[in-house]
Amino acid sequence: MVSLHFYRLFFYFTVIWFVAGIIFVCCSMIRYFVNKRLVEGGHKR
Amino acid sequence: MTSASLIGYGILFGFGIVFITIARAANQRYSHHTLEDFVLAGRSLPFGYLSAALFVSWTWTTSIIGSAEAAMQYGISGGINYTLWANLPFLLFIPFVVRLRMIMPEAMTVTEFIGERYNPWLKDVYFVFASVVAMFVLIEQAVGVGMVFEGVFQIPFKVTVFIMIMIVTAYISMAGIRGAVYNGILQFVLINILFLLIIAVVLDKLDLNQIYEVLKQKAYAPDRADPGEMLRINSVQGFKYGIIALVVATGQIFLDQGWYSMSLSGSNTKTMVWGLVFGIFILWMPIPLISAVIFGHGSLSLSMGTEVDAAASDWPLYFMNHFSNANYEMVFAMLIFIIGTGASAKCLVGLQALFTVDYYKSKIKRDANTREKIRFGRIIIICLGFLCAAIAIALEGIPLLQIDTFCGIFFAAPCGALIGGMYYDKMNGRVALISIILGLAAGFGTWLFREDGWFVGSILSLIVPVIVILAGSLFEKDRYNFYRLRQYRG
Repeated sequence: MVSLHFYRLFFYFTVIWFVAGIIFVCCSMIRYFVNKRLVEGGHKR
Repeated sequence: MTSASLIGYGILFGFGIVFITIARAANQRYSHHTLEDFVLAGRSLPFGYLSAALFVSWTWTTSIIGSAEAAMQYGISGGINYTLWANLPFLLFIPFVVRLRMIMPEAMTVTEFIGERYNPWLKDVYFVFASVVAMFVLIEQAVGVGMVFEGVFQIPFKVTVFIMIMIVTAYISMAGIRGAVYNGILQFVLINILFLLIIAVVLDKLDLNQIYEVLKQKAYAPDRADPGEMLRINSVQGFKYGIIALVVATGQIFLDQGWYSMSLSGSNTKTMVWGLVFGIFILWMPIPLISAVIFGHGSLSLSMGTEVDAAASDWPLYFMNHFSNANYEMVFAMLIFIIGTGASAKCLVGLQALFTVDYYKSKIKRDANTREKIRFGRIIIICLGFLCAAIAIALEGIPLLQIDTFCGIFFAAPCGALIGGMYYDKMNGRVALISIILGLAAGFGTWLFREDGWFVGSILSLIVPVIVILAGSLFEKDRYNFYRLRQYRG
């Protein structure tokens, strides 16, 4: 049987997991976008 | 027209214009010189874009509503079983699509693989399965959005369904897979913001201790035949529900060309694998797990009852309304709309790939050039959009549970031959076809002639083809040479 302590812990763990995943993917997208802009800028120069 | 309806139409047309503008910009930026460009974004998507697009594709209205209903019925194990078992087929799908990319590098669709591995006739059979599964998922999303908009904004079901499908059709027809991916990035951001907002609102008003206490009371209620079951992770009922989720998801993943198109558009195999792992396992899994607690268990704590009526899927609206005011109801409706459009886009991407790559060349014009194929793909997707809208409108008032049952059995049967054909060299088209027929016969036979036969029927339609394939291989002397697939040039 799941205790209240475990129930709370699991829920907050899931929320942190969710937020961490979003931040990681957003950072990856921003990094790709910035790199692409830098490369395109370099070509223009 | 009420002010609520005006807001609803504002959401529909506002997002519609934004999505179509993004697709138009993508279409202008990337001129589609090759079929690969149009159908697979030139196999050039980076990890971030790919995982965001895959997350949006896998987040369905059922990820929130279905998981919450499972949690209401089965307690703690409901949401966990839904999440784990529905995701399990991806553990098979990832190595499958990696091997497809490796042994058949030029393949763009799963039906091309079937055509080369078995025969053109079986390719047509899978073409039908793949088209039907994509249309079914699309219609399911549209029906979900239509019901929510009718509940919140009093906009007629038919109108919402039609507008929503037309928006998705317009942006996919215009920019192909890039329309889905670039809109997917915006949808990814919006879904996460709105979902986090809803979590914050619910937790502000509803305490987890309170939710747990009510769950405990329900679990040990005197009228319950299974005291304590709702608080167990290893609940038998929850496990059985999970098995059903597995069978349904297996067909919807392996037969839907949208998953292949999305995955193969990754810039290389490593990007594809990490995109799938992040998009499906890291990003998606918390959504149903959190929904199970805040919507499912939260609803129980508001004493909304454990008996879930299949036709009353708009309970989250009453749930949201309970917390504050109509604004949160609208936030929820907006979330469901964005989720519905994102998931539908993936279905249309798959349909477009099937018709653009396969159908036109093999059935209508053998010497078609790229431009003609892309034009055909654009026209056919508009026609299919209208067809799906018509079917979805016709389904108004019909419980989706019956259709879900039928589709679970129907789509599970061809999976064995598809997966077997990828790895097992002692298989031929004849055995594959027999396995599908016997799988369907076993599944539907059990469903029709046995009381409450859905559970066993679904499992049989998945298992029987595997047994037939293994038995058939005992009589097969020839071994298929997978190297032949490498020579395939489209």
